Amino acid sequence: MNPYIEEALLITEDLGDATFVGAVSVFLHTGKSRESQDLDLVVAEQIPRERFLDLNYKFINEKGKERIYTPRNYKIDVFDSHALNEIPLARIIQTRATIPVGKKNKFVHAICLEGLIVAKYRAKRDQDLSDLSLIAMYCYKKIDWKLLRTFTKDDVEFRQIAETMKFYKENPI
Amino acid sequence: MKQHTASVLMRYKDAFQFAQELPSSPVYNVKDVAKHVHERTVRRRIKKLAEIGLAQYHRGQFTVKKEVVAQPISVLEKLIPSFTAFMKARRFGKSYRVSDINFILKNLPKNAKITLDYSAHEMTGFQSAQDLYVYVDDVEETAQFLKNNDFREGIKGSVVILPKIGSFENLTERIFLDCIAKGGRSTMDAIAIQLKYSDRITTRARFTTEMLLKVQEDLPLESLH
Repeated sequence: MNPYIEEALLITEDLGDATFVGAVSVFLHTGKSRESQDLDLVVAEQIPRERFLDLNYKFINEKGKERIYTPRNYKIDVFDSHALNEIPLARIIQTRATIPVGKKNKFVHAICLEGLIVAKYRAKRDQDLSDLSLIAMYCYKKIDWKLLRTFTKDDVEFRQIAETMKFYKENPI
Repeated sequence: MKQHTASVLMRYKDAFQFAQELPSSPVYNVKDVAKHVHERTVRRRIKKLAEIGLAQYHRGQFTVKKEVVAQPISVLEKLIPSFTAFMKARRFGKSYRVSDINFILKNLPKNAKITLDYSAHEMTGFQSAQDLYVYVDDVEETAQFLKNNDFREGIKGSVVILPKIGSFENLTERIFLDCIAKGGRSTMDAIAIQLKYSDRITTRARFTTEMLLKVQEDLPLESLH
């Protein structure tokens, strides 16, 4: 199993519930991705510091910023209050995808494909556009356009995203 | 040689300038960007960028590798061998799993050089690798070897064969330049290499502050030591 997916599974077991966003979710949907050493996840409620410490998670100060490390030394970013690229966290949890991993009926939750596309499109960083191209190449037929429309601000944004995904599907990077 | 590459780039000067001035967008419509310039001029510039893999055009729409085009001309000159090699890249797959990569790693052609994902991952530990990019002396021979072993050529395979073009004397620098030339997620590999191996790199590339900070933040701590 991909080590990041294995870690996502262990984090889910540790925390009870988590919805993965970012590169791990790209991998869960496409089977391909380039993950950096951190995993991004959304939780419904803020997890108290003591709970993390009880689970042997570590808080490490890096260049003036406190970061959370899992007991397996993976850095995690936990989203529990702000929206993710203007998508409310509750909506991400409500529409999340449950994806089977491994051979023992285990599951990991990830942001749904449609929410992921909108979040990546809004971020517009080089790495996000690479991810969008990957999603278009491997998942274009799986996109639920009606659901995707509900994540967008208006028809203009929806049309721009639809055009972008079509272009990437027909012109892989 | 330097004079030659500079004169090659002169042909692209207007195309680079056009690309640098575009607002940030994943996909552009020719009609939208041709408000002050004739559509034919815009298409000609896109065609030039596409010749070296910096743009893709399809039915009135196009994409541009803005992060690559944003490099200074002195860096772009050094990227020409990478651009040329990437344009001649051939992609192969068999099972479309990691076993394809293991196969080629066990059967690397003589003098082959690995670049991009796998070499960047080995050097920096910053991002996991996805595709295996290999420079070989004889692309046709390697392609035939893969086909004889039931690999198929297409767009989804994870094994990418590149012709050896340009210098490989300073392999760290070459991998760094390849990462810049590829753009996208590889730009972050280039930054990670620059942060970790600045003593081995002579090219001074330009990256956005946002990207630099992102890589600095996410680079595994021990790799900076």
